[in-house]
Amino acid sequence: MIALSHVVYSYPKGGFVFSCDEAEFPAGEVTLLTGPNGSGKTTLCRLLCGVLRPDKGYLLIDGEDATAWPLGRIGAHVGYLLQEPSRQLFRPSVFEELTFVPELLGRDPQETAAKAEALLAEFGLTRLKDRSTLTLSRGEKQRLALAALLMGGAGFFILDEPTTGLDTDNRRILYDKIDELREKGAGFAIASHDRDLLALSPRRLRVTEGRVVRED
Amino acid sequence: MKTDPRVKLLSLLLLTTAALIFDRLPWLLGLLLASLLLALLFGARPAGFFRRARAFIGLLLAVALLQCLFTRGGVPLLQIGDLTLIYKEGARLGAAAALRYLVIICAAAVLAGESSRRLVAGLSGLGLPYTLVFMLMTALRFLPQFRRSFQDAVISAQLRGVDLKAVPRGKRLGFYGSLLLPVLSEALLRSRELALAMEARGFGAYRERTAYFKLKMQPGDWLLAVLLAAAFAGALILYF
Repeated sequence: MIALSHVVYSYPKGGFVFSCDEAEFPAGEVTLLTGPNGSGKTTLCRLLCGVLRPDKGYLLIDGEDATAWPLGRIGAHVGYLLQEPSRQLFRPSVFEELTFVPELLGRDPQETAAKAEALLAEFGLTRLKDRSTLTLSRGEKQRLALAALLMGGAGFFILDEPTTGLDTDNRRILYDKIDELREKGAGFAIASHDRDLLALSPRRLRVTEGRVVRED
Repeated sequence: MKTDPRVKLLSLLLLTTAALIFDRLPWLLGLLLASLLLALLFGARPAGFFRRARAFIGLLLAVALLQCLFTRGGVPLLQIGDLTLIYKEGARLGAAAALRYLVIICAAAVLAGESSRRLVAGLSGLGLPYTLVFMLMTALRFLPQFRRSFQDAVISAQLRGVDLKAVPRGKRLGFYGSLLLPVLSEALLRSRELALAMEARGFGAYRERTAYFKLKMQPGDWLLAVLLAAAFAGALILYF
Protein backbone atom coordinates (compact mmCIF):
# COMPACT_ATOMS: atom_id res chain seq x y z
CA MET A 1 0.00 0.00 0.00
CA ILE A 2 1.12 3.53 -0.60
CA ALA A 3 -0.17 6.56 1.25
CA LEU A 4 0.22 10.29 1.59
CA SER A 5 0.03 11.84 5.02
CA HIS A 6 -0.42 15.57 5.71
CA VAL A 7 1.23 16.46 2.42
CA VAL A 8 1.65 20.01 1.17
CA TYR A 9 3.42 20.78 -2.08
CA SER A 10 3.82 24.11 -3.83
CA TYR A 11 5.42 24.65 -7.22
CA PRO A 12 8.52 26.84 -6.96
CA LYS A 13 7.54 29.18 -9.80
CA GLY A 14 3.75 29.18 -9.54
CA GLY A 15 1.11 29.94 -7.01
CA PHE A 16 -0.43 26.44 -7.24
CA VAL A 17 -0.49 24.67 -3.88
CA PHE A 18 -1.43 21.02 -3.52
CA SER A 19 -2.49 19.57 -0.19
CA CYS A 20 -3.70 16.20 1.00
CA ASP A 21 -4.42 15.32 4.63
CA GLU A 22 -4.64 11.55 4.31
CA ALA A 23 -4.94 9.36 1.22
CA GLU A 24 -4.41 5.62 1.07
CA PHE A 25 -3.93 3.52 -2.02
CA PRO A 26 -4.29 -0.14 -1.03
CA ALA A 27 -2.73 -3.08 -2.85
CA GLY A 28 -5.17 -5.17 -4.85
CA GLU A 29 -7.41 -2.19 -5.53
CA VAL A 30 -7.84 0.41 -8.24
CA THR A 31 -8.20 3.98 -7.02
CA LEU A 32 -9.47 6.47 -9.57
CA LEU A 33 -8.27 10.04 -9.39
CA THR A 34 -10.85 12.33 -10.91
CA GLY A 35 -11.17 16.08 -11.22
CA PRO A 36 -11.13 18.84 -13.82
CA ASN A 37 -8.07 19.78 -15.88
CA GLY A 38 -5.49 21.64 -13.83
CA SER A 39 -6.97 20.48 -10.52
CA GLY A 40 -3.78 18.67 -9.43
CA LYS A 41 -4.24 15.04 -10.55
CA THR A 42 -0.82 14.87 -12.19
CA THR A 43 0.74 16.56 -9.15
CA LEU A 44 -0.81 13.85 -6.98
CA CYS A 45 0.53 11.13 -9.31
CA ARG A 46 4.00 12.66 -9.22
CA LEU A 47 3.95 12.93 -5.43
CA LEU A 48 2.91 9.28 -5.15
CA CYS A 49 5.92 8.07 -7.10
CA GLY A 50 8.47 10.48 -5.63
CA VAL A 51 9.02 12.58 -8.76
CA LEU A 52 7.84 15.53 -6.68
CA ARG A 53 8.85 15.66 -3.03
CA PRO A 54 6.41 17.21 -0.55
CA ASP A 55 7.33 20.45 1.24
CA LYS A 56 5.56 19.01 4.29
CA GLY A 57 4.18 15.57 5.12
CA TYR A 58 5.10 12.03 4.13
CA LEU A 59 4.97 9.48 1.35
CA LEU A 60 4.54 6.02 2.85
CA ILE A 61 5.27 2.80 0.97
CA ASP A 62 4.17 -0.39 2.73
CA GLY A 63 4.20 1.55 5.99
CA GLU A 64 7.74 2.87 5.60
CA ASP A 65 8.53 6.56 5.25
CA ALA A 66 9.69 6.82 1.63
CA THR A 67 9.70 10.63 1.43
CA ALA A 68 13.47 10.80 1.08
CA TRP A 69 14.07 7.54 -0.79
CA PRO A 70 15.97 7.86 -4.06
CA LEU A 71 13.80 7.39 -7.16
CA GLY A 72 15.52 4.11 -8.00
CA ARG A 73 14.42 2.64 -4.67
CA ILE A 74 10.86 3.91 -5.02
CA GLY A 75 10.83 2.50 -8.56
CA ALA A 76 11.40 -1.00 -7.20
CA HIS A 77 7.94 -0.72 -5.55
CA VAL A 78 6.02 1.85 -7.60
CA GLY A 79 5.81 2.14 -11.39
CA TYR A 80 4.69 5.30 -13.16
CA LEU A 81 3.11 5.10 -16.59
CA LEU A 82 3.37 8.47 -18.31
CA GLN A 83 0.53 9.87 -20.39
CA GLU A 84 2.87 9.62 -23.40
CA PRO A 85 4.35 6.08 -23.32
CA SER A 86 6.94 6.90 -26.02
CA ARG A 87 8.80 8.93 -23.41
CA GLN A 88 9.58 5.84 -21.38
CA LEU A 89 10.74 3.45 -24.10
CA PHE A 90 14.51 3.55 -24.46
CA ARG A 91 15.63 0.63 -26.56
CA PRO A 92 15.35 -0.07 -30.30
CA SER A 93 13.47 -3.37 -30.02
CA VAL A 94 10.57 -4.63 -27.89
CA PHE A 95 12.55 -7.47 -26.31
CA GLU A 96 15.53 -5.24 -25.51
CA GLU A 97 13.16 -2.80 -23.85
CA LEU A 98 12.20 -5.42 -21.32
CA THR A 99 15.74 -6.65 -20.67
CA PHE A 100 17.27 -3.14 -20.59
CA VAL A 101 17.09 -2.43 -16.85
CA PRO A 102 17.88 -5.94 -15.53
CA GLU A 103 20.95 -6.08 -17.83
CA LEU A 104 22.01 -2.66 -16.63
CA LEU A 105 21.78 -3.83 -13.05
CA GLY A 106 23.78 -6.98 -13.82
CA ARG A 107 20.95 -9.50 -13.24
CA ASP A 108 21.21 -13.07 -14.47
CA PRO A 109 20.72 -13.00 -18.30
CA GLN A 110 18.87 -16.33 -18.50
CA GLU A 111 16.43 -15.44 -15.76
CA THR A 112 15.93 -12.01 -17.33
CA ALA A 113 15.22 -13.47 -20.78
CA ALA A 114 12.75 -16.00 -19.33
CA LYS A 115 10.89 -13.29 -17.42
CA ALA A 116 10.83 -11.05 -20.49
CA GLU A 117 9.40 -13.87 -22.64
CA ALA A 118 6.73 -14.57 -20.02
CA LEU A 119 5.73 -10.89 -19.87
CA LEU A 120 5.65 -10.61 -23.67
CA ALA A 121 3.23 -13.54 -23.76
CA GLU A 122 1.15 -12.14 -20.90
CA PHE A 123 0.81 -8.75 -22.61
CA GLY A 124 0.17 -10.16 -26.09
CA LEU A 125 3.42 -8.79 -27.45
CA THR A 126 5.28 -11.99 -28.40
CA ARG A 127 4.74 -11.52 -32.14
CA LEU A 128 6.24 -8.02 -31.82
CA LYS A 129 9.32 -9.20 -29.93
CA ASP A 130 11.84 -8.03 -32.56
CA ARG A 131 9.87 -5.01 -33.78
CA SER A 132 11.24 -1.51 -33.33
CA THR A 133 9.62 0.30 -30.42
CA LEU A 134 9.28 3.34 -32.70
CA THR A 135 6.85 1.55 -35.01
CA LEU A 136 4.45 0.28 -32.32
CA SER A 137 0.93 1.64 -32.04
CA ARG A 138 0.04 3.73 -29.00
CA GLY A 139 -1.77 0.83 -27.35
CA GLU A 140 1.19 -1.51 -27.94
CA LYS A 141 3.62 1.07 -26.58
CA GLN A 142 1.49 1.41 -23.49
CA ARG A 143 1.34 -2.34 -22.89
CA LEU A 144 5.09 -2.58 -23.40
CA ALA A 145 5.73 0.28 -20.95
CA LEU A 146 3.51 -1.45 -18.38
CA ALA A 147 5.29 -4.77 -18.92
CA ALA A 148 8.63 -2.98 -18.48
CA LEU A 149 7.44 -1.63 -15.13
CA LEU A 150 6.54 -5.18 -14.05
CA MET A 151 9.97 -6.33 -15.18
CA GLY A 152 11.45 -3.94 -12.61
CA GLY A 153 9.41 -5.62 -9.89
CA ALA A 154 6.92 -2.86 -9.13
CA GLY A 155 3.75 -3.92 -7.33
CA PHE A 156 1.93 -0.62 -7.43
CA PHE A 157 1.19 1.36 -10.57
CA ILE A 158 0.37 4.99 -11.18
CA LEU A 159 -1.23 5.65 -14.53
CA ASP A 160 -1.67 9.21 -15.78
CA GLU A 161 -4.55 9.47 -18.28
CA PRO A 162 -3.82 5.98 -19.68
CA THR A 163 -6.73 5.81 -22.13
CA THR A 164 -6.01 9.09 -23.95
CA GLY A 165 -5.68 8.38 -27.66
CA LEU A 166 -6.63 4.70 -27.40
CA ASP A 167 -9.35 3.16 -29.55
CA THR A 168 -12.14 1.05 -28.04
CA ASP A 169 -10.33 -2.28 -28.52
CA ASN A 170 -7.10 -1.05 -26.97
CA ARG A 171 -9.02 0.46 -24.07
CA ARG A 172 -10.69 -2.87 -23.45
CA ILE A 173 -7.31 -4.66 -23.53
CA LEU A 174 -5.94 -2.13 -21.01
CA TYR A 175 -8.97 -2.45 -18.67
CA ASP A 176 -8.66 -6.26 -18.76
CA LYS A 177 -4.94 -6.09 -18.03
CA ILE A 178 -5.45 -3.72 -15.11
CA ASP A 179 -8.17 -5.98 -13.69
CA GLU A 180 -5.99 -9.06 -14.15
CA LEU A 181 -3.04 -7.47 -12.35
CA ARG A 182 -5.32 -6.16 -9.61
CA GLU A 183 -6.61 -9.68 -8.97
CA LYS A 184 -3.00 -10.80 -8.58
CA GLY A 185 -2.54 -8.18 -5.85
CA ALA A 186 -1.24 -5.13 -7.72
CA GLY A 187 -2.49 -1.71 -6.66
CA PHE A 188 -3.37 1.07 -9.08
CA ALA A 189 -3.88 4.81 -8.89
CA ILE A 190 -5.31 6.03 -12.17
CA ALA A 191 -5.83 9.67 -13.09
CA SER A 192 -8.47 9.77 -15.78
CA HIS A 193 -11.57 11.41 -17.19
CA ASP A 194 -12.63 8.07 -18.72
CA ARG A 195 -16.02 7.09 -17.25
CA ASP A 196 -15.61 3.46 -18.36
CA LEU A 197 -12.80 3.10 -15.83
CA LEU A 198 -15.35 3.66 -13.05
CA ALA A 199 -16.53 0.11 -13.68
CA LEU A 200 -13.14 -1.16 -12.49
CA SER A 201 -13.39 0.28 -9.02
CA PRO A 202 -15.71 1.99 -6.60
CA ARG A 203 -12.73 3.75 -4.96
CA ARG A 204 -12.50 7.31 -6.09
CA LEU A 205 -10.57 10.35 -4.99
CA ARG A 206 -11.59 13.69 -6.37
CA VAL A 207 -8.97 16.39 -6.76
CA THR A 208 -10.34 19.93 -6.77
CA GLU A 209 -8.21 23.06 -6.82
CA GLY A 210 -5.25 21.22 -5.35
CA ARG A 211 -7.19 19.45 -2.59
CA VAL A 212 -7.97 15.75 -2.38
CA VAL A 213 -11.48 14.68 -1.40
CA ARG A 214 -12.60 11.05 -1.03
CA GLU A 215 -15.77 10.35 -3.01
CA ASP A 216 -16.82 6.74 -2.45
CA MET B 1 12.95 52.94 -28.61
CA LYS B 2 14.20 49.38 -28.97
CA THR B 3 17.44 48.68 -30.76
CA ASP B 4 17.03 46.87 -34.09
CA PRO B 5 17.63 43.11 -33.62
CA ARG B 6 20.11 43.19 -36.54
CA VAL B 7 22.36 45.46 -34.49
CA LYS B 8 22.07 43.02 -31.60
CA LEU B 9 22.93 40.12 -33.91
CA LEU B 10 25.92 42.10 -35.17
CA SER B 11 27.13 42.70 -31.62
CA LEU B 12 26.69 39.00 -30.84
CA LEU B 13 28.75 38.09 -33.90
CA LEU B 14 31.52 40.59 -33.07
CA LEU B 15 31.72 39.63 -29.39
CA THR B 16 31.91 35.89 -30.03
CA THR B 17 34.42 36.37 -32.86
CA ALA B 18 36.60 38.50 -30.59
CA ALA B 19 36.27 35.88 -27.82
CA LEU B 20 37.64 33.25 -30.17
CA ILE B 21 40.49 35.48 -31.38
CA PHE B 22 41.67 37.00 -28.10
CA ASP B 23 43.91 34.86 -25.95
CA ARG B 24 45.34 37.31 -23.39
CA LEU B 25 43.58 37.56 -20.04
CA PRO B 26 43.28 41.39 -19.80
CA TRP B 27 41.68 41.46 -23.27
CA LEU B 28 39.24 38.71 -22.41
CA LEU B 29 38.34 40.53 -19.20
CA GLY B 30 37.72 43.71 -21.18
CA LEU B 31 35.59 41.76 -23.62
CA LEU B 32 33.59 40.28 -20.74
CA LEU B 33 32.93 43.76 -19.43
CA ALA B 34 31.87 44.95 -22.90
CA SER B 35 29.48 41.97 -23.28
CA LEU B 36 27.90 42.67 -19.90
CA LEU B 37 27.44 46.36 -20.70
CA LEU B 38 25.92 45.60 -24.09
CA ALA B 39 23.60 42.95 -22.64
CA LEU B 40 22.34 45.44 -20.04
CA LEU B 41 22.08 48.21 -22.65
CA PHE B 42 19.98 45.93 -24.88
CA GLY B 43 17.50 45.13 -22.11
CA ALA B 44 18.75 41.97 -20.35
CA ARG B 45 17.48 42.01 -16.77
CA PRO B 46 20.46 41.72 -14.38
CA ALA B 47 18.70 39.38 -11.88
CA GLY B 48 17.56 36.92 -14.55
CA PHE B 49 20.86 37.13 -16.34
CA PHE B 50 22.97 36.30 -13.27
CA ARG B 51 20.57 33.51 -12.25
CA ARG B 52 21.00 31.85 -15.66
CA ALA B 53 24.75 32.44 -15.74
CA ARG B 54 25.03 30.61 -12.38
CA ALA B 55 23.90 27.41 -14.09
CA PHE B 56 27.09 27.47 -16.17
CA ILE B 57 29.54 27.86 -13.30
CA GLY B 58 30.17 24.11 -13.08
CA LEU B 59 30.88 23.91 -16.81
CA LEU B 60 33.24 26.89 -16.68
CA LEU B 61 35.16 25.44 -13.75
CA ALA B 62 35.39 22.04 -15.48
CA VAL B 63 36.72 23.67 -18.67
CA ALA B 64 39.29 25.66 -16.68
CA LEU B 65 40.37 22.61 -14.69
CA LEU B 66 40.76 20.35 -17.71
CA GLN B 67 42.82 22.99 -19.50
CA CYS B 68 44.97 23.43 -16.36
CA LEU B 69 45.62 19.72 -15.93
CA PHE B 70 46.33 18.85 -19.55
CA THR B 71 48.66 21.72 -20.42
CA ARG B 72 52.14 20.52 -19.52
CA GLY B 73 55.42 22.38 -19.54
CA GLY B 74 56.70 25.76 -18.32
CA VAL B 75 56.97 27.02 -14.75
CA PRO B 76 55.41 24.62 -12.20
CA LEU B 77 52.71 26.18 -10.00
CA LEU B 78 51.42 23.23 -7.97
CA GLN B 79 53.44 20.12 -7.16
CA ILE B 80 52.77 17.02 -5.10
CA GLY B 81 56.12 15.31 -4.51
CA ASP B 82 57.74 14.87 -7.92
CA LEU B 83 54.46 15.23 -9.76
CA THR B 84 53.62 18.66 -11.14
CA LEU B 85 49.86 19.06 -11.25
CA ILE B 86 49.53 22.59 -12.62
CA TYR B 87 51.91 24.70 -14.67
CA LYS B 88 51.74 28.49 -14.96
CA GLU B 89 50.87 28.27 -18.66
CA GLY B 90 48.14 25.72 -17.90
CA ALA B 91 46.58 28.02 -15.30
CA ARG B 92 46.67 30.92 -17.75
CA LEU B 93 45.09 28.89 -20.53
CA GLY B 94 42.50 27.49 -18.12
CA ALA B 95 41.48 30.97 -17.01
CA ALA B 96 41.40 32.13 -20.64
CA ALA B 97 39.19 29.21 -21.70
CA ALA B 98 36.73 29.82 -18.85
CA LEU B 99 36.62 33.55 -19.62
CA ARG B 100 36.09 32.83 -23.32
CA TYR B 101 33.04 30.67 -22.56
CA LEU B 102 31.76 33.28 -20.12
CA VAL B 103 32.02 35.98 -22.79
CA ILE B 104 30.05 33.78 -25.21
CA ILE B 105 27.34 33.21 -22.56
CA CYS B 106 27.17 36.94 -21.81
CA ALA B 107 27.15 37.77 -25.52
CA ALA B 108 24.10 35.52 -26.00
CA ALA B 109 22.32 37.65 -23.38
CA VAL B 110 22.26 40.61 -25.79
CA LEU B 111 19.26 38.89 -27.39
CA ALA B 112 17.55 38.23 -24.05
CA GLY B 113 14.86 40.87 -24.29
CA GLU B 114 14.09 40.21 -27.96
CA SER B 115 10.81 38.69 -29.21
CA SER B 116 10.90 35.84 -31.73
CA ARG B 117 8.79 37.93 -34.14
CA ARG B 118 11.39 40.72 -34.23
CA LEU B 119 14.23 38.21 -34.54
CA VAL B 120 12.54 36.50 -37.49
CA ALA B 121 12.04 39.90 -39.12
CA GLY B 122 15.65 40.81 -38.36
CA LEU B 123 17.16 37.62 -39.76
CA SER B 124 14.93 37.82 -42.86
CA GLY B 125 15.99 41.44 -43.25
CA LEU B 126 19.61 40.27 -43.32
CA GLY B 127 18.76 38.23 -46.40
CA LEU B 128 18.44 34.75 -44.86
CA PRO B 129 15.77 32.60 -46.56
CA TYR B 130 12.54 32.65 -44.53
CA THR B 131 12.33 28.83 -44.42
CA LEU B 132 15.75 28.68 -42.75
CA VAL B 133 14.82 31.42 -40.27
CA PHE B 134 11.55 29.66 -39.48
CA MET B 135 13.37 26.34 -38.92
CA LEU B 136 15.90 28.01 -36.63
CA MET B 137 13.27 29.75 -34.54
CA THR B 138 11.15 26.60 -34.32
CA ALA B 139 14.15 24.58 -33.18
CA LEU B 140 14.87 27.14 -30.46
CA ARG B 141 11.23 27.11 -29.36
CA PHE B 142 11.26 23.34 -29.01
CA LEU B 143 14.45 23.15 -26.96
CA PRO B 144 12.68 23.40 -23.56
CA GLN B 145 10.32 20.61 -24.65
CA PHE B 146 13.21 18.34 -25.54
CA ARG B 147 14.77 19.11 -22.19
CA ARG B 148 11.51 18.09 -20.49
CA SER B 149 11.34 14.96 -22.59
CA PHE B 150 14.88 13.99 -21.52
CA GLN B 151 14.02 14.70 -17.86
CA ASP B 152 10.93 12.47 -18.19
CA ALA B 153 13.14 9.73 -19.64
CA VAL B 154 15.61 9.98 -16.74
CA ILE B 155 12.76 9.90 -14.20
CA SER B 156 10.97 6.96 -15.78
CA ALA B 157 14.21 4.98 -16.07
CA GLN B 158 14.78 5.50 -12.36
CA LEU B 159 11.19 4.50 -11.65
CA ARG B 160 11.95 1.19 -13.32
CA GLY B 161 14.30 0.54 -10.44
CA VAL B 162 17.52 2.08 -11.76
CA ASP B 163 19.52 3.72 -9.01
CA LEU B 164 21.81 6.00 -11.04
CA LYS B 165 24.58 5.72 -8.46
CA ALA B 166 24.45 1.92 -8.65
CA VAL B 167 24.93 1.78 -12.45
CA PRO B 168 28.51 0.65 -13.14
CA ARG B 169 30.66 3.44 -14.61
CA GLY B 170 31.29 1.46 -17.80
CA LYS B 171 27.57 1.18 -18.50
CA ARG B 172 26.62 4.74 -17.55
CA LEU B 173 27.44 6.26 -20.95
CA GLY B 174 25.36 3.62 -22.76
CA PHE B 175 22.54 4.23 -20.29
CA TYR B 176 22.41 7.96 -20.99
CA GLY B 177 22.71 7.22 -24.72
CA SER B 178 19.60 5.04 -24.48
CA LEU B 179 17.68 7.90 -22.89
CA LEU B 180 18.16 9.92 -26.06
CA LEU B 181 15.97 7.51 -28.04
CA PRO B 182 12.63 8.86 -26.74
CA VAL B 183 13.89 12.43 -27.19
CA LEU B 184 14.85 11.77 -30.81
CA SER B 185 11.64 9.90 -31.61
CA GLU B 186 9.62 12.77 -30.15
CA ALA B 187 11.64 15.28 -32.18
CA LEU B 188 10.94 13.34 -35.39
CA LEU B 189 7.26 13.00 -34.57
CA ARG B 190 6.88 16.68 -33.72
CA SER B 191 8.73 17.85 -36.82
CA ARG B 192 6.51 15.65 -39.00
CA GLU B 193 3.35 16.98 -37.32
CA LEU B 194 4.56 20.56 -37.58
CA ALA B 195 5.44 20.18 -41.26
CA LEU B 196 1.95 18.82 -41.99
CA ALA B 197 0.28 21.58 -39.99
CA MET B 198 2.32 24.27 -41.74
CA GLU B 199 1.57 22.83 -45.18
CA ALA B 200 -2.11 22.67 -44.31
CA ARG B 201 -1.92 26.39 -43.52
CA GLY B 202 -0.32 27.16 -46.87
CA PHE B 203 3.33 27.47 -45.85
CA GLY B 204 5.46 27.83 -48.98
CA ALA B 205 2.45 27.98 -51.29
CA TYR B 206 3.76 31.11 -53.02
CA ARG B 207 7.31 31.87 -54.11
CA GLU B 208 7.20 35.46 -52.87
CA ARG B 209 6.45 36.19 -49.21
CA THR B 210 4.99 39.38 -47.89
CA ALA B 211 5.37 40.45 -44.28
CA TYR B 212 2.94 42.41 -42.17
CA PHE B 213 5.72 43.37 -39.76
CA LYS B 214 8.87 44.93 -41.18
CA LEU B 215 11.85 46.38 -39.37
CA LYS B 216 13.45 49.65 -40.36
CA MET B 217 16.94 50.64 -39.21
CA GLN B 218 16.79 54.01 -37.43
CA PRO B 219 19.69 56.52 -37.46
CA GLY B 220 20.54 55.49 -33.88
CA ASP B 221 20.76 51.83 -34.98
CA TRP B 222 23.11 52.71 -37.84
CA LEU B 223 25.26 54.79 -35.51
CA LEU B 224 25.48 51.96 -32.97
CA ALA B 225 26.30 49.41 -35.68
CA VAL B 226 29.11 51.63 -37.03
CA LEU B 227 30.46 52.23 -33.51
CA LEU B 228 30.47 48.50 -32.76
CA ALA B 229 32.23 47.65 -36.02
CA ALA B 230 34.78 50.44 -35.43
CA ALA B 231 35.42 49.28 -31.86
CA PHE B 232 35.94 45.73 -33.10
CA ALA B 233 38.33 46.82 -35.84
CA GLY B 234 40.19 49.11 -33.40
CA ALA B 235 40.52 46.30 -30.86
CA LEU B 236 41.94 43.95 -33.49
CA ILE B 237 44.52 46.53 -34.58
CA LEU B 238 45.59 47.16 -30.98
CA TYR B 239 45.67 43.43 -30.17
CA PHE B 240 47.93 42.51 -33.06
